[in-house]
Amino acid sequence: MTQTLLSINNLYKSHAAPNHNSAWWNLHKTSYINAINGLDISIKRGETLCVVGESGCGKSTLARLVMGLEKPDAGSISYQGKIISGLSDKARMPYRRRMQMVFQDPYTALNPRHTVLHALVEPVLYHQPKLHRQHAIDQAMAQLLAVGIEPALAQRFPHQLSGGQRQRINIARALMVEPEFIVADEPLSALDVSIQAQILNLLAQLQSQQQLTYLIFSHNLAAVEHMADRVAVMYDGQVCEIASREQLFSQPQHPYTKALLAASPQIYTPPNKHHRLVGDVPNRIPLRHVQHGCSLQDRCPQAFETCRHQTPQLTPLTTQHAVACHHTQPPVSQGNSHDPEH
Amino acid sequence: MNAAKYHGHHIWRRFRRQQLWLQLKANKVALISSVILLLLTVTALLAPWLSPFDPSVLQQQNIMDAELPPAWHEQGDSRFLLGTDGLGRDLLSSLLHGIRTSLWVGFWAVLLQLTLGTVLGLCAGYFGGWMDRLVMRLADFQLTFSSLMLAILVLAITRAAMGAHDYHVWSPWLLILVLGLADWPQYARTLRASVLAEKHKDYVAAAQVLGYRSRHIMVMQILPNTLSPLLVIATLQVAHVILAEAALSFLGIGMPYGNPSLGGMMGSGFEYMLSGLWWIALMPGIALVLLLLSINLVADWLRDALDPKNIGPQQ
Amino acid sequence: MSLHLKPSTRLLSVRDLHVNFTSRWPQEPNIDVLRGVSFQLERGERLALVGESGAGKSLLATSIIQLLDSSARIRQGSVHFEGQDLTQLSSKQLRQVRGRRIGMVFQDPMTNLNPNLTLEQQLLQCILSHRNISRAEARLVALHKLRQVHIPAPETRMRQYPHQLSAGQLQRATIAMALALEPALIIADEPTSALDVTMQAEIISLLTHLCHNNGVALLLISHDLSLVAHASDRCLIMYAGQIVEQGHTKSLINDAQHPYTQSLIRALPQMSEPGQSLYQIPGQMPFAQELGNQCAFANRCEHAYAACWNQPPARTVTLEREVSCHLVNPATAPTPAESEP
Repeated sequence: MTQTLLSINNLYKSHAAPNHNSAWWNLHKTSYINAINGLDISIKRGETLCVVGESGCGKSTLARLVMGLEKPDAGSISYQGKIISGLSDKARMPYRRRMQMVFQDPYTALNPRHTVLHALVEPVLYHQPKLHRQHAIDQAMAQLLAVGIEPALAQRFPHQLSGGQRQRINIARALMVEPEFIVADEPLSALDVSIQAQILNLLAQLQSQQQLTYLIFSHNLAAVEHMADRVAVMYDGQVCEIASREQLFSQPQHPYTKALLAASPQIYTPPNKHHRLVGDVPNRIPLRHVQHGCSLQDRCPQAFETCRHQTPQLTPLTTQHAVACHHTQPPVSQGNSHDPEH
Repeated sequence: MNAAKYHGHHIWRRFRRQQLWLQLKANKVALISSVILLLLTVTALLAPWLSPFDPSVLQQQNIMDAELPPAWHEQGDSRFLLGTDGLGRDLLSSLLHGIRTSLWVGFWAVLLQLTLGTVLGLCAGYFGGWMDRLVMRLADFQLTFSSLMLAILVLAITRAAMGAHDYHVWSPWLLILVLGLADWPQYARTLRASVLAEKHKDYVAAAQVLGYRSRHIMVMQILPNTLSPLLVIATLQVAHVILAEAALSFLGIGMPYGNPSLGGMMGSGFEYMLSGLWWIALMPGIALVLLLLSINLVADWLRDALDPKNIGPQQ
Repeated sequence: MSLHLKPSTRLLSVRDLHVNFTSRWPQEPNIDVLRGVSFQLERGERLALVGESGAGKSLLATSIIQLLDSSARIRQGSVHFEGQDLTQLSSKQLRQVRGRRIGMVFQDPMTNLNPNLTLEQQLLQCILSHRNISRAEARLVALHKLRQVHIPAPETRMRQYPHQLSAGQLQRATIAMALALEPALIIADEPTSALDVTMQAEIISLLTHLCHNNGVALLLISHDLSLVAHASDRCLIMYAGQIVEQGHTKSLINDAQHPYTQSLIRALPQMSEPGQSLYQIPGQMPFAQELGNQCAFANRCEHAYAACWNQPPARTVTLEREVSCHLVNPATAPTPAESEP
């Protein structure tokens, strides 16, 4: 039953850095930022994996890599055992319809000149040009009902809809090609709190109806705690902790996870100042200054000597829980590989 | 393509719901100028039937009728409503045919520019890389020439090479070709810039994720969102091309003599200006101003009206 | 006018504010988007304004500082700030109030700062245009403010351009700029929506502490009740252009009276067990033009009954709490028979 649907192995991706800080005389030298930095994740069929992290940690890049909108520098992404990361556009086509994406900003994700109905009918007619248009319209209307949009709104343009309605349309459009795997990049962050609940319920309901697998990127920990089966915490292009939802929220191990949990606003409990990090996300660091050691070392209140020169590896604590932090691992003598059994 | 058919169907629905008509009614300037433009276009199209004389038929001309003032003038002749020119041709007939020629040249030349500029600009913006660099360098190269200078050069050389008779046959098409090819970089540059802005929006990524081919994304998704600046340039260019044609005809290398155009008429009328025959140059001048002004005003309105954001919050 | 006579600590008093938009469509009438907003703000108080997008939060903020769009107009009501009615001031007098007496912090720090000027240039411009001091003194003030908002190495940061700073530092710099002229009130409109979770908590606590320590009043606008829960003294809940409930934040959260406030809290993901479906407020906020003579929340309210559809609810004022709901008003509360669904 628990078959692996998507697995990401040792993925690397770097972007050309905007040359803001460099002087004019080395403008021609492009420097690179590591967006994804040796990342491993696998997703089982039917589960919801939430990836949590702040902006600049590489979430959006990962989403685009998985969807094939960008190509990785190294490493691979395989879907049901077949490597899809290096495929040409044509060879990728069969996979396109099996995996779909829901975007962060529901407004820019819809073409402003297309009505709701047009947005939903177009993918169907594109992939089945022989289908009668009325069939496609019927399918679109059924899908609108499934995502809770009144059919009367079908002739509206995106700017005539509310944020929640737009996000429902985005979800409906993704479902029009009958995918089995949905990647959602911050699907809630552009929505109001009361609308977030509606979308969360809709996603859960669609998942149980259509056996969907979700890979959801979010920084909203309350929503993640509600919907995830497993949670991966991402920092600086790497997974620093991955665990089942219960484990991660009850026994967070990595200092970054603890800080994220402490910073997440809670209505009844005052914010916890204990696990606060200092400084900012170390983004925009060009590759030329390769940093040694843990990428969190400058912000971590518990950083010690080992953290400065040795990069922690993702090490399983239990079968459900893996952490990349020197504090949860016995100090390893330099040069030796890590003992997976702890 | 079905999707295209569906889109077209939808625009028709919008017309039927009379959104455009309502907006036109609310905008008095646009209403008046579109009525004028419509009138000018219809009279131009029907010129062979509407005009009392055919300016290209020499038998209908009588040198005795030359230099007659407009009909309301005391020396006027009721046969010639707007008077006659120095060769005794009816000014009204020439004017109707002239508007026809101007619109004809303007329409085809702009269509040529628009097609060329759109295709090149879209490809440059969407694909980027070497395609972008090639197209943009070509555009830079083209822009170093003044389009009017280029036209004068080409037309003068072909005229010398072809001889007067052949040139008369081919000159309308040559004019369209030269004016059409000269100004594409404007479209290409504008379109490229808007494509670059649009292609990073999420709806383009969504279209890629849905498995659409590049051509479909470019034409069906991106192009409709970048059309309004193109539309503005195109309509301004219609005016520009009509003006350029008038200037070339004025200089004597545009339309052949028997084929009256507004510029040619103004050019020949100019010679009579100082001898007090003001109407020969003034009548085509008024027609030209009216034509250009109405085109520009209608274009202005159309740009706003076609933006879906102006349809209103609720239907 | 009695405001002047009383030795009051009242800083801002908005009374029965109605703002409408001129419709672009000639066939549509102008409709009030803010419909009778009244609230008070004491000196040094931290007041949160919570509501969904479209409720009119930002419109309220811009009408307080009289920076409305040209299509919007204050139809009725007054905004008294430090004894002056801001709606009656000339634009010259208003410039003295904005910036100097009221500071603003907006959502996106990147658009709030001029990308072509260094921080120092912008801070000095802001200080020198309002205060008659030398450049060197102004520079000291700027440095002091940057230290107050915990910007590391302010001397070097000051010489940098906005794009060279991270989003968190930029928002700190905007706060420093808002504080530079020692205003009496800071209006922060969604100051953390563009920031990350860890940065969000820090900025909110920085803002509230600075206001608290300097005696500056704060109007914190947000759509997230859990964010302002621990950062404000009092809280206004706004819905469809009206304030439906206001009171002390702690008591408001623990004992919400208005059905909308109750649903806002119930809809939070942490309010239900993981995996189970969340409580969701059905439907969506009505447009201003759809509202007739009824309670604006009636179409989404679980408790709505006949009175809710027939007349807008009056404000019920109890000790420390104001609620606009028929259920709470003893005069209109339903009889037991009516409240049965």
